[in-house]
Amino acid sequence: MPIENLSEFKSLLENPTKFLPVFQTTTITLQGRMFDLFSANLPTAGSTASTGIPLNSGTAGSINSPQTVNYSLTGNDFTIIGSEVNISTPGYWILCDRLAHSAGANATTITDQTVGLPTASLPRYTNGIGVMMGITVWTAIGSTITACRATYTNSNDVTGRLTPDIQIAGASYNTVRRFMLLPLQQGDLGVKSVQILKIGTSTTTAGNFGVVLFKPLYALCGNLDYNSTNDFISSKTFGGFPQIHKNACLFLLHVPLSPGFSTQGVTTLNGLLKVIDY
Amino acid sequence: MGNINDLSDLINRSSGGSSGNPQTVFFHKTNRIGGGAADATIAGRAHSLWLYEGYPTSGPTPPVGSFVNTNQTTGSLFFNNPSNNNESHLIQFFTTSTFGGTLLLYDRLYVDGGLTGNSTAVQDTSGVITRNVTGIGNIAFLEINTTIGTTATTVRMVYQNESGLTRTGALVAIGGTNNRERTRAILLPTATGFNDKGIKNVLSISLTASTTTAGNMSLVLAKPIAYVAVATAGAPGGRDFVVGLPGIPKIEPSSCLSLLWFANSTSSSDYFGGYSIVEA
Repeated sequence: MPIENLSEFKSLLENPTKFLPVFQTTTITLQGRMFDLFSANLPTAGSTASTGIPLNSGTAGSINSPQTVNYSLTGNDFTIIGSEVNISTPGYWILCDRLAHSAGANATTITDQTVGLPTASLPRYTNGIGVMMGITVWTAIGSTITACRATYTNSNDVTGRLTPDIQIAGASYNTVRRFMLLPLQQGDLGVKSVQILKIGTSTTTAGNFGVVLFKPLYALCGNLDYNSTNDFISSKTFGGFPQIHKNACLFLLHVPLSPGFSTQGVTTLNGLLKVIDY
Repeated sequence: MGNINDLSDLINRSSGGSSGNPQTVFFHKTNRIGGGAADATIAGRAHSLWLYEGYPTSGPTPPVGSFVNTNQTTGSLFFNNPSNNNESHLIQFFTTSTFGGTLLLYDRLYVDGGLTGNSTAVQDTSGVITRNVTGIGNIAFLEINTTIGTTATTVRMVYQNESGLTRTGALVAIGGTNNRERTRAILLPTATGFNDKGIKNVLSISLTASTTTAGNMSLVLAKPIAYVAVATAGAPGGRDFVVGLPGIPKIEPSSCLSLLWFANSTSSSDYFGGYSIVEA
C-alpha cells in the first residue's frame, strides 16, 4: 500500500513497523574496491557451509534473523523507508539479498571447476532479471594476476552462457572478502545459475573462492559525519522505497572511501533500518 | 499527465501510488572490453562506457550505417517505458567507482557507425532523431571504437540546429596522443558565434587531415540527463532530485540510457551504481 503523503511519511519515520538492526564489522584494506561482508564477524560470520543450498534469512551470515525479517502483521514484504546508521569508514554500503553462492574453487587449478556448483535454484527473483553475480574470495588467493570467467544459465534459461573474462588475483584482487563483479554475456538480461568457474593461469596460491548470485536493494551513502539519519528525502540513500522479500538473506557489499579512516582498525556499520509492512 | 505536484505526490508515487510504477535499477560496469583490459583513460577527457562489460552487457561496435538506439538496444541501461501515457522522471542517480571522475547519464538518441580516422573526405551521417526532437540540449560526439592514428589533426561536424538551420561546427582536436584511444569520446562543438541551443541532426563529419590509421568511430547524438561526481576512489557520488524539486529530469519513452565518464586519472575504472525512476 503506498504512502499517501508527506505527513504520513513523517509519521511512519517516527513510528515504523519495525527497526531491523544492522551491525557489521570487518577489516578493510583497499580504498575504492568492493568487499563482500557476508563472512564478516557480526552478527554471525557466514561460511562456506551453505554452498549449494538456497540462502535465506536463517542462513548464518544473514544480517537479519527470520524473527526480524519475516515479521509482518499484514503478510506483505517489508519496505525500507529510512535508516539510522553510524559508520567508521565512509563510502557506499550496498544492502543486497544474497540468493545463492558457492565455495571451494582453487586458484591454482586452470581446468573447469565445478566444486559447489551448480549454484542452487534462485529462491527469490526467480526469473533472474536484476540478479547480478560476482566472485567472492573466501580465503586469500595468489599474487599472480589471471583471468576468471563463469559459465551460467541466463534469465531465458539458455545454458552455456559465458561471462567475459575479468581480472582476479594480484594486488587489490586477492584478499579475503574481495568481491569482483562478473559481467553478463552480451545481450543477456540476468542470471539464474552458475555451472562452472575457470581461471586462465595459476595465481600460485590455492585459497578458496566462489561465485555469489545476489540482488541489490538499497545503497547507504556513508558520509564523513559518521552518524547518518537517512530517508527518501535525505539524499544519503538510494533505491527509492526498496522491498525486502520474505526470507531475504540480507548482506552488505562495501566500497570504502578510505581504508585507514577507522581508529579501531576495523570498519563497522552499526544501525537500524526503518521498515513498514505495507 | 507528466507533473509531480509536490513532495507528497512524489512520495506517494515512489511508494507505488497513483500509478507511479517506481523502478530502481542497479548497474555495474567493469573496466574490461571483449574480455581484455580496457584502455587507460586520459585525465580530464571524456570516455564512452558503451563497450565496457558489465550489467547490463556491453554494447556492440555499431556497424556501418545509421541506427536509432532505444531501451531495447543491446548495451542500453535497463529502463521500462511508462504506462498510460505517463512520463518518466529520474528521482535518484548514484555511483561509486575505483577512481575519481564524473559520470554522465545520457540518452543515446542515434548512432552513425563505420566512420574512419584516415580520410579527409566528407563522411556523411544520416541519423534521424526520434526523441528530444527539438534538438535543444542535445550534444554530439565521436566515439572511438578502434584506436585511430597518431597524427594529430582536427575534425568538425555539419549539423542542423534547433531551428533546422544548417551550421558548420568549430574545429576540435582528434588523433594523436590523448585523442585517439579506444573509448575516447571526442565532443564536437557547435558553430562559433551563433548561440545555437542544440542539435537536431548531424549531417556529416570531416577531418582536416588523416590521422594515418582508419580505426573505427561512431557519431553519437546524445541528450545529457544527469551528472554525478565521484571525488576519489570509493567516494559516494549521487544526485537526489527529491531534494531538488521541481528540477526533476524527464526520461523519454524508449530512451537508450548510457554512460560517459570524465576521468580524473589515467586508470580505467570499475563502477557500481543505480537509479530510481517514477512515473507521473
